[in-house]
Amino acid sequence: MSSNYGYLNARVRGLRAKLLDETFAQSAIEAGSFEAFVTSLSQTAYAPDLEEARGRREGLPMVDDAIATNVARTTRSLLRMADGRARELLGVLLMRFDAANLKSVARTFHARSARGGGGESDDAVASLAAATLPAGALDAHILERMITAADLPNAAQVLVLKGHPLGPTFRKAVAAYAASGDLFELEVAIDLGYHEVVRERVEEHDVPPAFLRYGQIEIDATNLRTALKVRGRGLEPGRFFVPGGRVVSKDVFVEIASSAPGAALPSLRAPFDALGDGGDLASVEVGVRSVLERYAKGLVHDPLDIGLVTHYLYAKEREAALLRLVARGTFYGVPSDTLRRELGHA
Amino acid sequence: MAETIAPTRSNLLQRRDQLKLANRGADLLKRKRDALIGEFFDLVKVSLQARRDLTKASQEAYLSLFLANAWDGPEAVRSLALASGTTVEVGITVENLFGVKVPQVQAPDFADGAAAFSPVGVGGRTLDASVQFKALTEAIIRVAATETRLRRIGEEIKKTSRRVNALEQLVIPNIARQIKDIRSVLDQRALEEVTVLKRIKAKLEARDAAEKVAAAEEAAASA
Repeated sequence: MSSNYGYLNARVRGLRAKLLDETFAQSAIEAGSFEAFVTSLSQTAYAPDLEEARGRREGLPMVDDAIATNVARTTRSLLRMADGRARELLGVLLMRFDAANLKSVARTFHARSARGGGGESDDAVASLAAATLPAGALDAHILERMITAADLPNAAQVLVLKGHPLGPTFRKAVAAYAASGDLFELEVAIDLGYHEVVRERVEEHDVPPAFLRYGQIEIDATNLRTALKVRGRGLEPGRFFVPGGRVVSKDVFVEIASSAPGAALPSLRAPFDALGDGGDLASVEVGVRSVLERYAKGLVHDPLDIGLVTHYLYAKEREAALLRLVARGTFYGVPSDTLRRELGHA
Repeated sequence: MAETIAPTRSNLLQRRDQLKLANRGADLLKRKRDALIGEFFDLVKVSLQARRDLTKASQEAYLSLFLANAWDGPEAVRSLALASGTTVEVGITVENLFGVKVPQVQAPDFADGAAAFSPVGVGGRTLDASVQFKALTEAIIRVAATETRLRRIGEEIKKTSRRVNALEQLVIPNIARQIKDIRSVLDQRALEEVTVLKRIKAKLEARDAAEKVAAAEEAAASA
């Protein structure tokens, strides 16, 4: 399937030029007030989203709303710009938003049944809207149709009928949940199912080696984080391993996950060899983020493939995180040193 | 209004027993109060530490929530909050402390509920915030437990002090005064009796003397 990568990448370059970086964040921190930050933000590409959010909310929720709207609007416009293989690969890249949103749908139904099945559907729609970021193939309209379904199996049916790639996985996980009522197992099934679908989709397409490498490193990063999260929780670790990584094998994963909380990581191969001895999730998170950043940057050189879009999506999420950090910092009056230290983790 | 008591010896004995009992009661209550004050001050140290722990846990929890909202996104945090409608079961036993029933609260163990959401997809900062808020909940329950004990013991100290004061300031002086009054009346009566007896004795002695004089005069006349 052919794709007009030239057009897509040209548009993405334009979008990249508008990305806000640490310089913007630093100047917002120096300005020192939330109002000054909102004024600065209203002079950027976030202006229309901020204006739209101003009608719905105020203060910090307004900025959060504007950031979420901007991210969702950006991914939707990318999907509109792309065609052919580029659109399919973009769909794969954005599928994690769908997986996260499906877990929110499941949690909403679970919370409703835990309360005894009551509750207004308007409330459910409002709480789901606040807990989802419709930046993938599932837009707010589909999510609303799912949450207003009679029960979770019917919501899964809505997804299957839409022909979403996660539909069969979600339906299977929901069927198991209907028998057990175990939300934890349902969430694990969605997470592992999502990675399996992504792997199948990538294998179906002849993706460039750099993109494949990035995907493998991202799986390694997920496995490293998961191993540290599982550590000391008395869970059987092997079942949370996501196959398809490059460096972190299942044995290494189980070794990390079975070690005592706070214990140093075993020596890892490049590019995770620089993670050091720190065995806590926060420091590993910082190291893993810098590895992913490096690999994402390595994708931008091929003008006729999906790499530039991949890097842009990575940078866009990072920008959103920076803005949320600075917005909160200025809103709550967090000391600028603390904020700068957190910015250093970006 | 002062109670009117018959100034009898039996009442005097009864009041003396009451005074002995009241003194013993006041002494016991003072010892109870001292023990409770000791317990209170020990608990104050624990309570202050629990408050410090709560402040620290609160700062850490809200900072972690701040970072989770920034790095993982408010949507992700709210999504996890949807699923975590768990109830916290707190074990409470009632302990008898110097006759005071004080609650003993066991902090909940969140270890079983740790696997509330999939570790594969959850953000590291959000997971950290979840752990920190569990620690905050434990700290709140610990403060509630120590402060409830503290309040109950404080109330009991106040109650015991009031009882000691009532005994020392009212009951014991009242009984002592009654004893004094009865003893005074009884002493008065004893004195009156002695006087009467003395007067009778004097009269008898005077009569004996008069009889002796009359007999002597009669003997002299007949001689």
